[in-house]
Amino acid sequence: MTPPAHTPRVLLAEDNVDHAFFTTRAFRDAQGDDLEMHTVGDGEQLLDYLHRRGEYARAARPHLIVLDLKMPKKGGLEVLAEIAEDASLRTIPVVVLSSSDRPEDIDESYARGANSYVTKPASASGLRDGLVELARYWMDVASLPEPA
Amino acid sequence: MNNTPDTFLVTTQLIELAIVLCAVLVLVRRWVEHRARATGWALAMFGILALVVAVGQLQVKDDGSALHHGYTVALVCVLLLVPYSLVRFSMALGALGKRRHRVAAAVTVLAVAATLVSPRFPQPGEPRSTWFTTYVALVIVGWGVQSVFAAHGLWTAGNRQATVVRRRMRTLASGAVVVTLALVSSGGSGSPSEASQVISALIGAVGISLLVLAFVVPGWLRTAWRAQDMLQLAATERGLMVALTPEDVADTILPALPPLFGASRAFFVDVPGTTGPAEDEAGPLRADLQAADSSDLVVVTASGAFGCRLSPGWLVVRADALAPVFGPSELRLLERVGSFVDLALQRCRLYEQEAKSRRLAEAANAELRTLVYSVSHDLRNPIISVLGYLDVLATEHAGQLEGEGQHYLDRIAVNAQYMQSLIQDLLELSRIGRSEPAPQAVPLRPLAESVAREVSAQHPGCEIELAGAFPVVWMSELRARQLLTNLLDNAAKHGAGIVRVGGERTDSGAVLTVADDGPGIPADYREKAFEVFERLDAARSDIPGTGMGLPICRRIVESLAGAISLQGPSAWTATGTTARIELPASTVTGWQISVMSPERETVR
Repeated sequence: MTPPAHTPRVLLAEDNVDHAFFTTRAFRDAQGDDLEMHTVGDGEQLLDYLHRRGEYARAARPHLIVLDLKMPKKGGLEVLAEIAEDASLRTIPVVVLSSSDRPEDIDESYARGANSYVTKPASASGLRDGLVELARYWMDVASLPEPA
Repeated sequence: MNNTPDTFLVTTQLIELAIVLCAVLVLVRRWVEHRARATGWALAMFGILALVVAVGQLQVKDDGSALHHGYTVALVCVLLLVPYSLVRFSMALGALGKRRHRVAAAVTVLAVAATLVSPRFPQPGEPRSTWFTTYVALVIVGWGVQSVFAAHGLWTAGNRQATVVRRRMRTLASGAVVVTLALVSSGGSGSPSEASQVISALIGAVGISLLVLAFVVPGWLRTAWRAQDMLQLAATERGLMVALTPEDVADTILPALPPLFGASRAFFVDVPGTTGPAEDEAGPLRADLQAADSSDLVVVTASGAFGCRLSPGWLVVRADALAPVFGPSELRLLERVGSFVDLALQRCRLYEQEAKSRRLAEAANAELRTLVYSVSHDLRNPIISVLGYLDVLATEHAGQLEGEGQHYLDRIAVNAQYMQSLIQDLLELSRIGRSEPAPQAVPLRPLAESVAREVSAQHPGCEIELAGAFPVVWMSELRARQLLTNLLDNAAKHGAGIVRVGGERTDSGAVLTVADDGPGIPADYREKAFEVFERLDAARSDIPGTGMGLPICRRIVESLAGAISLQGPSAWTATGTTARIELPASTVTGWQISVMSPERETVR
């Protein structure tokens, strides 16, 4: 229940700009201005960010990753596997936020080390409420690791 | 001394002559037909025997003249060719090697030469000179050596062969030995008594009979020899009944045929799905089979192959060199085997066709489901966005629109929400039977009560009553809940206030009914309600629904091998619809009968 000492930093990997907008908005609703939100459009960019490669050379390590499964270049499941293999990255909690509710996707995500799996709520109010609830849980309830 | 042995001797010799003549006749006929080398040598051997026995009957008086001596020498020389013919016969069958043949030829030449130079044969009863005794011993040893060669060769050639072949070869070998014994017994003693003559004539008759039987094995004997193999054939034919592919048929029947017929080989020609002989053999054979201008099922080719017509193709049996002849009984047998094989092949073909169309249908079905699934899945993302922005508009920009503008926005929201439900239901429909949650024993009574509570909460003023015996069904609980929710929800939506859920135990399993007292559905439209996206009440569009509920229900029930239908009003109401589900007994694991009250129970 202790809020992190620093401003929480969330890295969102989402290729759909609309969905990225809704998710960012929900985190803002939950956390207000005390939040750093970064968005990348595909799995490769996400890994570049985490490994501080190219344009992300000065990127700060996130406290939480919100990951879409279906992305161009590198999908969420591949990214999950790579994060799990990297000792310096595997302590970052990963929330999978996907429009898929296929049992295979859910099982595979957890098998590859996802910390939670959330299906994007598909109704007008449900989407906002669900995302805000998700954001609130990770921002207020869960303890996040200290960035190294 | 009485007369009987003499008469008996003559009778025996006459019988011997008759047997030999019969053999000669049959062999001549066969020689004319085939001109096989083995037949030729057999004919030579029996011809000589017939000649000698016939001449023996003439009782030519020995007058001591040179003429008579010449006559005797000629007769003996010819007779000495008998064992040599037997050796050549065995050789023609591949039962004897060249080395033994050379020995046999040398022995024969020696014996003939000795005969030609012999001074005089002693009269019966006359004491034998040393020379003559040596000569007789030479002849008997020579004859014996050749017979033993032939007998051993024939016996060995029969080993590990089909029963018919083996028995034939052993009979031939025995015949050769017995004939030699007859010769030894008649020629060995200097002054043969009539009794010993009778005995040697009898042994001779037995030996000759054995040889004749083995040369031209009669049909009844072949059938008797084959009796054991026929039992084996019955087992093979049972094996044919379970063969699923033409290769199975070939593997089952083809190895069984050579032992049965005493054939060298059995194979298919031009039967699809099986491997026939190489084209250089198959080509001429095919031409031969087709040239045999006959409508019979079984065809004998000029090259001595026996073919049974199949549809399409041929079952061909090639006779073995050692095998007894193919006669009508073999042709009938081949016909019988051929018919069985043809039936089995046709069954395989049907099975293959059926399996192929089933595979195609399954593939098409799976493809369609995958398509439906991925399409509906891809449709989710844009609809989530639309709904998301509608929410942003409603919460953050409310008031900027008014009157008609607000109304249009509301309609967009209703339609977007409806589209979302359609997509969700499509996904659900494509998921049933595709990725199923694990089945378990689901008691329908408490589940129906729970669903009824949820549904009546959404439809205030609707009373849902449960009555009867409810089964415990082996299925996924999620699907059971889906099924009951859809049916109860439909009934509550369309009914006038009362919904009755009934359970009943029947001979074939369980029946579940959900009845409402609404306006009902005309009989013609009841089946249509199970079609995807079909809504019968378009005019009453105030009733929500995607038209996917009943198709989902049907798919769930059919995945349990059950049946679902819509029927007219139940007995307690004048109008309305009754959904009736029949579940087979195989899905029912138990029963729950309302113990609280035998009367109807209303769930609130």
